[in-house]
Amino acid sequence: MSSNGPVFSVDNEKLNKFGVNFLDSREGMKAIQSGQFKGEERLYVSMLSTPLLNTTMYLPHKELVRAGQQFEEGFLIVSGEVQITHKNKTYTVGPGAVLGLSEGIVGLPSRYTAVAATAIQIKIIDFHKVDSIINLLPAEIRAILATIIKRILTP
Amino acid sequence: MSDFKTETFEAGQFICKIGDQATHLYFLQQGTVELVSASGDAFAVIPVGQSFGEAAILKGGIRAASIRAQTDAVCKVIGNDQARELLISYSPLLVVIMEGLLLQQAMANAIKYLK
Repeated sequence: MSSNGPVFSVDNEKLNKFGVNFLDSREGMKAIQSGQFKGEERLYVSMLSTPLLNTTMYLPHKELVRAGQQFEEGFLIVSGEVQITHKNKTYTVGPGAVLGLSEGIVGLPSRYTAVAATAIQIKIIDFHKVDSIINLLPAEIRAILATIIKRILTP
Repeated sequence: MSDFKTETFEAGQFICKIGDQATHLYFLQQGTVELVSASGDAFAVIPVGQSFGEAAILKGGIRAASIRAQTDAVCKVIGNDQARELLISYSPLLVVIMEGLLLQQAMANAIKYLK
C-alpha cells in the first residue's frame, strides 16, 4: 500500500453518515447548492443508491485484473483500497474509483494490474448488459459516451 | 433526435461561464470551442465531433471552466433533465454507466496530474 494514501478517493465515511438518499432530499439539494459536495462525491453516492449493480467483497491481495487481460466486468470501489501497478509506478485508489468501465465498453485490455490492498467492497458493472444497451443508442448519446471514454483512455 | 436542439454560436461568444449551473450537455457538430480558465486563459480546445458540458448530468452541477466558441460553432444541445430522461428511456442502467464514466474520468485526471 502506498504510504502517501490513495491518489483518488471520496470521503465515504462522511457520505455514509448522510445516507444514500440524502442528495435527493430538500436538505441534500441545499447542501449541493452550497458546494458542500464535490462532483465525484455526488456521483459516488448516486451509484451507491442504485439497485442495478451487485455488490461483492474481496479480501486483501485479491487480483482484480492483470495488465494485458480483458476486464470481465467494471468495478466501483465502495470501501477499501486497490493497488494499481502501471509500468513501473504503483499507487492506490480508494472509494469512488472506477476501474475497467471504459476499457470494457470498447474492448481494450487493462494497462495495469489491480490488486486489493485492503479488504474491499465493490459494485460490479456487468458489460453484457452494457453492450446490449449501447448498440441501441442514438448517435448523439454514443458520441457523448465516446468523448468521455476517449478522455479517460488518452494518457 | 427530437430531444436535441441545434444552437449556433459566433466566434468569441461564451457558451457558458465558470460557476454557472450546468444545465445543458453539448455535442459539437461544426467549428471548435475552447475551455477558458478563471483567469481568462484558453487551456484546451474541443474539436468537432466531441461533446462537452457532461457535468450537466449531475444534479446541481457547476461549470468548472468557461466555454467559448473559438470559431463559429453549431452544437446539438440537450437539457440535463431531458438527458437523464432520454438515458432512462433506453435503460436506467445508462445513467449509472454515465455516472461511472464520469467518476472514472475524475480518477484518470487525478492520475494524470500525479505524473
